[in-house]
Amino acid sequence: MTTPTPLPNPETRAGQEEMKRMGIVPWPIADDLTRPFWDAANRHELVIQRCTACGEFRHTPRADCLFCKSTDVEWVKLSGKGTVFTYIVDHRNEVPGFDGHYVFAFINPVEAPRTSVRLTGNILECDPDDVYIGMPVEVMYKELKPGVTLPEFRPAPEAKLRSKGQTP
Amino acid sequence: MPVTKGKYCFVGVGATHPTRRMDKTEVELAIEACRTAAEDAGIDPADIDGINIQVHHYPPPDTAAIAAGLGMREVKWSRDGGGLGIVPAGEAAKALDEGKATITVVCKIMNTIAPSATPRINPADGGVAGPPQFMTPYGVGYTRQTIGLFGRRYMYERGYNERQLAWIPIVEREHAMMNSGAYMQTPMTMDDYLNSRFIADPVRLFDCDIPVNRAVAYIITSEDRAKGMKHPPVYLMGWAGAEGEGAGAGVPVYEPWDGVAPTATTLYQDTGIDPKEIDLWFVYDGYSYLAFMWLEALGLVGPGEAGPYIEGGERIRYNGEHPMNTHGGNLSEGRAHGAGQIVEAVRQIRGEAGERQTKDPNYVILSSAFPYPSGGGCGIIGRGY
Ligand SMILES: [Zn+2]
Repeated sequence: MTTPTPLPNPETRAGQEEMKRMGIVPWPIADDLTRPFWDAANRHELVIQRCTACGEFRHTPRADCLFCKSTDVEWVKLSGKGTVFTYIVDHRNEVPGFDGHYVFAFINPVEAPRTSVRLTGNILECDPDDVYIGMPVEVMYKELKPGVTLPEFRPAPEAKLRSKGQTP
Repeated sequence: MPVTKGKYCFVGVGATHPTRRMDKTEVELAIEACRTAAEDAGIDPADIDGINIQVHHYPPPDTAAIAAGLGMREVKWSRDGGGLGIVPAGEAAKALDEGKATITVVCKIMNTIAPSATPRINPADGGVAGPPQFMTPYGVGYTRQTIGLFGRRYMYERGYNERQLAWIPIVEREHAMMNSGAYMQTPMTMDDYLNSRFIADPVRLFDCDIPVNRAVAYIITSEDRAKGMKHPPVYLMGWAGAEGEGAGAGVPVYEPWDGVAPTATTLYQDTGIDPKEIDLWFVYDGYSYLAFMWLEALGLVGPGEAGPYIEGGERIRYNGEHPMNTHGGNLSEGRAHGAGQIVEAVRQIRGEAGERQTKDPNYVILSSAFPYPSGGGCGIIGRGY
């Protein structure tokens, strides 16, 4: 009989490093609140909640409306176009599954520019030095594993890229 | 309405020297800091009957062992954990006000080797549940990353730049070099700051506090008891705010930028102190971005004024208009989640800060954690009513 290898402790840096070595990639566990979002991503669609009482969009998903507290909600399909609200370029690479300098951003979709909507994603197919607040982006999809797809973003054609000599 | 009916005072402060190597146990560190605070107060540790030990990790150390090590005759009130910075001081005062104890010691223990906040990833298969499901699968789960996100947007909206922000770590380093109890003792120039490596661009290494091992303790009692003790009483004038760290692992909503303003308004109403009357600005600086944002969130400067105010560093230096974190702060004295600011506030009010002593301060404002979306706390320590 062999003793099973103990799992890394995710609450320590050593554990995070061990998970990296094991090739673990974090993926979202859909729950009752978020399943419509991830199911849509699997169909390569981007949907977010809209309050049917007051009409305001919200994201990430929550049970009640930020504005009127109503729990009446519909899921609305978005165009996938938006702009960068803010972003970081990570240099530490401590999260398992991530290497190099990667960009994480909050995106304002064109349909819902209010701050109650925060689409999250990496900016892919883009030099991190090219990203700027207000940059137009469009959605793309990355399949992590069967049944789990992440919406991600890349520069829209009208984005001004410093690496191409353009001024944002 | 002020939270307590009576008035409560800081009568003793103490801290162990910050180290990068954990060469003592948490219990040993706590006993040393609490004994130093009792000695400073001129009291026998046996007379302390309330104790609050705080750590930012689990499991917490054995509070009973610390109480026994101190020789406390009786533990009437004991509490583990509870918020950052000034908030636990307020909670201790509340317990005194409710008659649960008569003299309370509050001690924060920092331990660099203990588990800290990391992304919550299932180690078996990588699954991420709850609000982090929208962050961690994209490589985000550390506080420094969240700070970078709202820090960048804040700078953008206000039109501030990194050469303004830089003055917070630079001036605090100058202060640390006047404080033998501070960990960082080498000078920092603007070039040093701008050349420090990115952690989560825009957050640089020198925007982050320095993790150290240490314990920081202070003793609180009622005004009546304090008046008979070694030093003139230093008053907890008031505090407001929630416990907890605010922006956590979920997806924060960033505006309005005055998230903590209602808490600050409560503080000013309860104490009857106007922000203009406050001499020293001991804003929370776990990250330099937080200190920057607290200035406006507390109404110490108006929206858009923080960048120009700190530029050049003169106004926030120990001999300036509104000295900021004269001990070096979490950035350069060493991480203590705001407990170090309480010790320094007491020393400044007593006039014991030596080379870095400010000119006759009456009031020190302290803040803790994140100014927004919420969850931060703030308080005022002063010479008296
Ligand atoms: Zn609504």
